[in-house]
Amino acid sequence: MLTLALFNFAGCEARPSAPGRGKAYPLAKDVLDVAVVGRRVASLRRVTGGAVVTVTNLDGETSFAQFDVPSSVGALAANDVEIVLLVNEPARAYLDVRLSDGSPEGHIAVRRSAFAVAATAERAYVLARERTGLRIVTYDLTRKGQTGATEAPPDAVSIAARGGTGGDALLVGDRGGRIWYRPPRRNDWALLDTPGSDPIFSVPPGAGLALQHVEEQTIVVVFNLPSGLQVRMFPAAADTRRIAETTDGSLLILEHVADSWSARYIDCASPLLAVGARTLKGSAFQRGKLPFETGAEPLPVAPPGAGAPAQTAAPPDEAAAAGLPQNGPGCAR
Amino acid sequence: MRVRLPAWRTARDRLLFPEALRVSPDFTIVRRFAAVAFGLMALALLVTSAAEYSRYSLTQDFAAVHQAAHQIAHGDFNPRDSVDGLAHYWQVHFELYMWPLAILLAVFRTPFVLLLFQDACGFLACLITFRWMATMLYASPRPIPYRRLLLLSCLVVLATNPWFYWSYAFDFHTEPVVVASLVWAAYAFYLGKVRWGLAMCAAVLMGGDVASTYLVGLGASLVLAMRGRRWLGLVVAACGIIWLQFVHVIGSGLQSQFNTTYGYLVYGFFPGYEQQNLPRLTVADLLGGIFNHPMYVLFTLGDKARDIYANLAPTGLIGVLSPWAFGISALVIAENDLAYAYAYSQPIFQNMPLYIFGVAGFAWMLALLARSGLARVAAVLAVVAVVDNLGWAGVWMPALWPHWIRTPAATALAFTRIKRQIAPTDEVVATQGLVGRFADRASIYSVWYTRRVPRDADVVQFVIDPFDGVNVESVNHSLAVLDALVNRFNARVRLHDHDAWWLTVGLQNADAVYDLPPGAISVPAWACSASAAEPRTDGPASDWRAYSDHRRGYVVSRDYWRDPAGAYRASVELSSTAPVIMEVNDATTEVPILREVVPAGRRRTISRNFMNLDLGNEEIYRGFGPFQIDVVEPPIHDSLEIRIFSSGTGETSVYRLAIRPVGRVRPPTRAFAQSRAAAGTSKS
Repeated sequence: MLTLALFNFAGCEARPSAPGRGKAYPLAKDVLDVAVVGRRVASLRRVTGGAVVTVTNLDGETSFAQFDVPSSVGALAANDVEIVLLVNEPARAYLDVRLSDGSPEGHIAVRRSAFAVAATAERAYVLARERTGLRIVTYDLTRKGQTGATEAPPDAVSIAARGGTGGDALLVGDRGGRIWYRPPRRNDWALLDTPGSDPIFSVPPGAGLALQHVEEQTIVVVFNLPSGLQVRMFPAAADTRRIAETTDGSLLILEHVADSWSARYIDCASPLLAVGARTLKGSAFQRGKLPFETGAEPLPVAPPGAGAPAQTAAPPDEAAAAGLPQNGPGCAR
Repeated sequence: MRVRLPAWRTARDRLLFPEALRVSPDFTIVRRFAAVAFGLMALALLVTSAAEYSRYSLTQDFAAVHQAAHQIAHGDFNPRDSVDGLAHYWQVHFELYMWPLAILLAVFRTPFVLLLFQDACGFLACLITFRWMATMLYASPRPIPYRRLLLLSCLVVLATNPWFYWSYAFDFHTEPVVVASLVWAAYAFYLGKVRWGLAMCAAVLMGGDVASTYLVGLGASLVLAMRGRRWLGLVVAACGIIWLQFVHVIGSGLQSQFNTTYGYLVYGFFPGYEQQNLPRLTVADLLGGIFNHPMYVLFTLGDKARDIYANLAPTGLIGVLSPWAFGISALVIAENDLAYAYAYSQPIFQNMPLYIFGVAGFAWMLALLARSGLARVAAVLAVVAVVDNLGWAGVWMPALWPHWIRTPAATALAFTRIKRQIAPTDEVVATQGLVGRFADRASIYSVWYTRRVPRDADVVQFVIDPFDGVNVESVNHSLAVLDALVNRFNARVRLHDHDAWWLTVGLQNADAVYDLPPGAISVPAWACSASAAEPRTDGPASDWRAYSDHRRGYVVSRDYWRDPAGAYRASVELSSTAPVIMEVNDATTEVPILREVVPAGRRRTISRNFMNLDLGNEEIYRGFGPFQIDVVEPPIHDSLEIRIFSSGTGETSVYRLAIRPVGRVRPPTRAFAQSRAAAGTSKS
């Protein structure tokens, strides 16, 4: 007889509600650009006679530091401890490297056509327009000099970099809303299946995030790397300009609404940011609960040829085969 | 002046209440309480059965019984059980009571009478239990302190046990039927009426092999409880064992699948659901396995601890320790909780003897405590049990109808229209969640259970509802079957109404067997039409579609696939005169995976790759707080769903939907060079 418990399949049972959008922290009204340095937000503002960078704690109320910068700063980037300012003066262009408290670390001369910058702990990548096309020029933040240059994807407008022991990986967004990916130690670019703009790397490895615009809606998409396949999407404010992750993997959505900026904070433990696949889903039965938990080994499943697959057999690890990370939620470890 | 009661009331009181209670001053109030409790119980059973019947919320187990009773009632005394794939119904469990029961069906000509009979058995079991409890508490040489409170508390515990109602809400089964005979036998032995008790034991045996094991448990209880007549318990247990062996020797008991249910105790691993190469295990094999692997028993009972508690708590909990309940309770717990997984251990009809004997034992324990100078302890325990039961009932009774009645009224009306038009000589193949009432046709099969459907009649009627009913059949399975019926077997759509599909395969098809697919990568969109669309099933089957004409909303939805984590490609074959939005969702977590605008265009296939992380957990009601149970777990993988949204500015036709694995995905490294070349061309 029918001995299975009877339940309905998808479509009939109640669903858990979608996770919330997180808490928003206000930033200064007249901000030009923002970047995340460690667990703080660095915002660039134009003031009379120049510009200032304000480093704000994530409570949205207390400032960590504020320092003057040249008025011709064009772009802002940051790694965990440093802020990299791309300064485009009429006669020259350079990277102004500061610690998060504003202490100067030095200048690095760059090409005058530079218009976007990304930074890892050791290097800065500058997107520059040259006669032969767009190029990405690499600068060493320690030696303060150029170390290389490579061809950039056509129509690139934004760049993100991720450092690692195996080399740096790059993500580039282009004018057509496409995302290009350059794996570590490779010189060729891959066009990812996921469309989007302003891509960034997630702090836990194996994923990236970008902005998408679908029918006047702005959404944040999470995609797998290196496959580039979209994993998830969730809505953001219509005028979202940037997204960035803090050192622990929490996401900041930097929204620009009515001349004011705010940073919406989504904790790294949120299911919205989970990037690792779950490959061992199965029954709780036969795992041994208290008081038999200690030392109780799960029963083995049927050996080959003994019959049909067991109910508690773990599914094949297709996620690993597909290149998915196995690190669970979206928090850095 | 003493009022002379009408004869029927006197007879009723003599029947329902023991003499000791009738002469007690408590009789009036106890009788009033009993009238209210049993009145509400009868009403709950009746209304639930009527609602289930009218909504077609009767599944495969009801279909098997309905088919057998219908055939017997129509003169075939060796009925078949096509729904379980058995040539003869007696091979199922040797349930001999089905033959006399079929008389009811012959007289009343409605299968609803089967549900009423089952309910009546449960009601009778409770009446007998109540009389037994009254006898324990009132037929004592010395009055038991607080006996009125104790009896009324036991009555409340008996009547408010939610598992009792859950058991009778699930189709039709032998366990809830034979429990009346079982408790009647026990009560007869308690009163010393041995012949009457043995007669009731014989009635229990009419329930077949599972019921015969209850006699072993009852025999054990008798050995413990009847000091002067322990031989009686041995006789009763021996009758059960002999009957069980007899049933299996003659080739019955085929649905008592020892290998699947208890095979792990012998083999050390779960041998699976279809073990062609393993010998059929016997009771002796199982006992040997338990002896050789005692730790498996401990681990399994540890896993089932919550369900054991959940089954016993609404019976007063300590009742199981009474000698009258211990034997039968221990047997039922062993049978159900040593079974693989949670299928039998979760509170449901298989544990029915616990719900009856547990309460009777509870009354016995209270009487013992009260007689032993612990009357106040007994009273406190009785009140605690009542409060606990009200908690269980408060958590689980509201879930009774939502759990068991999952067919909307409009869909049930569609089923009624369909059923009226199906001839008695036709074969019916129906979705598992609604198959029960269709079993009075030439033969009946469940889409979920039968993968190779033999053709037993010239005309085969398929009734499929992918989205409704108490259904263990996956949506993808139903959609795949609909697709196969139309494209492989040339079935003709006879009716579509509120998600109910009726298709007929007639003489135009010569197949002798229909191989129904267990699922499909690609499913027909017409079967998943959403609120803003309607299925168009005219013309060749390849042109069937979900069609939306300037209507805003979803054109297709609810096309669920359950796949493990990995890379997949979602494909939609569609045409539209205005842009539409394609969505891929993780329906389990309700998290969208991708969404993009599909421009207007002619019929073509749009494909998008995505990654399924499979991070969700399917939700299933387990109760809350201290009133939780462990249930058979829902499917482990997340449901993936493709939806097409139309803004209502044009016509949209969706033909097919597919989600297929794409294996290992590497970045397309050549794309950059191609793009560069294209960019260079455009610049030049």
